Amino acid sequence: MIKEFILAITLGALLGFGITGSYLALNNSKKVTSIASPTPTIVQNQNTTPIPTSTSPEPTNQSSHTLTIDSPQNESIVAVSSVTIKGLTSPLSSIIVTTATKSYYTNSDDTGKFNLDIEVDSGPNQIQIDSFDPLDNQASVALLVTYSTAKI
Amino acid sequence: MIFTLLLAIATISPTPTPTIAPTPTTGISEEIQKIREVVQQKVKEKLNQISNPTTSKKSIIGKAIQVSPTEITIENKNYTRMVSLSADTTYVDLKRNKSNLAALKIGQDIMIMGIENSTDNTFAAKRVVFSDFQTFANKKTSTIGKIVDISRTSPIFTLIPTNNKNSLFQIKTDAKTEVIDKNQKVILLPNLKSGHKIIVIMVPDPKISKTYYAQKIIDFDYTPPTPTPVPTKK
Repeated sequence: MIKEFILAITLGALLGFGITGSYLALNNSKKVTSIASPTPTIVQNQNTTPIPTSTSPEPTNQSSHTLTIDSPQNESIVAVSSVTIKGLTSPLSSIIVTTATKSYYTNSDDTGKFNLDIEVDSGPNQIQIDSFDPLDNQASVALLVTYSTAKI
Repeated sequence: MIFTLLLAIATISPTPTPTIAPTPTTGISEEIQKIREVVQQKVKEKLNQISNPTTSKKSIIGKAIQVSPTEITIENKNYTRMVSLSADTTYVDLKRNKSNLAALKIGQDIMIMGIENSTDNTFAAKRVVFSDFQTFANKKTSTIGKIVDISRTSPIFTLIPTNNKNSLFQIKTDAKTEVIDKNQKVILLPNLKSGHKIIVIMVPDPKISKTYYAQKIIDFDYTPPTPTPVPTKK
């Protein structure tokens, strides 16, 4: 009777410790494999820094209507008086471009792209670009473009 | 006895054994792989530098707030920036004559043309032009809104801008004011009507608040008159 009792305890203990040990070992190996290699982060380089407009009346900024200018870059130097303004805004927007002496009007296409040839004056030109979407939301970008043939 | 037996069983129970790292049997090939990766990275960086040059010709404007023999600090509404000077930097005064650094006074408006290095964010001045910002300032502003009143006695109308319906602008027009429709066709000023949606490009009247001089008006609600049918003779 005692022998059977001891045998039962022994088998039970073996089974219990075995299961516990296996569980702990498995858990430990999982922790080791879960240390993943760090993923590289991509940092985007934003080169263009449009100057915010300070003219009144203030344009609205509450909508998703945006305006980005692809070219020319802010503070760039051009060697010819004709400059093409290329940009992206909401589709079918009205685009107004002004310099100190001239003003221009065009529309963006159904993808939001627009191109407009303008004439700049000799020296620094403060170019103001305004976009009005079909819901009358306004977005603005100001650029400084210098027309100079001086050798830099 | 049972206790001894249990103790013995406990000591032989399976415990998690630390995994042994694989022996570096391929150590040399790993080193080669690392060197390859470093070389690839360096080549990529160099190619990137060639395809995207970090230096560019730029022109910046601002007020000189600090001047030293080697540097000028300028300030404008967006930033304060230090610009380095060198022996080959040239100076041009307000009369477009050749000048020098000694002539540059604190507070002078200047335009600096030079080379910007975006990697270390430096700006090497090549040409410093003394300027008067008023001469090239773009004072124009554009707004969209509705004409709510047109004066019958003077060339002036009242506009409520769409983005601020609590505001009223007095817009003056003259013979130089250009009026076009949405298709860029020139229309006559008297065709502007109360209730029309317009974009107006204007400059502020320095003397009167919220009063502007219209330079260009785009009338979105202008409809060209339909030609009246001429009765044909029988």
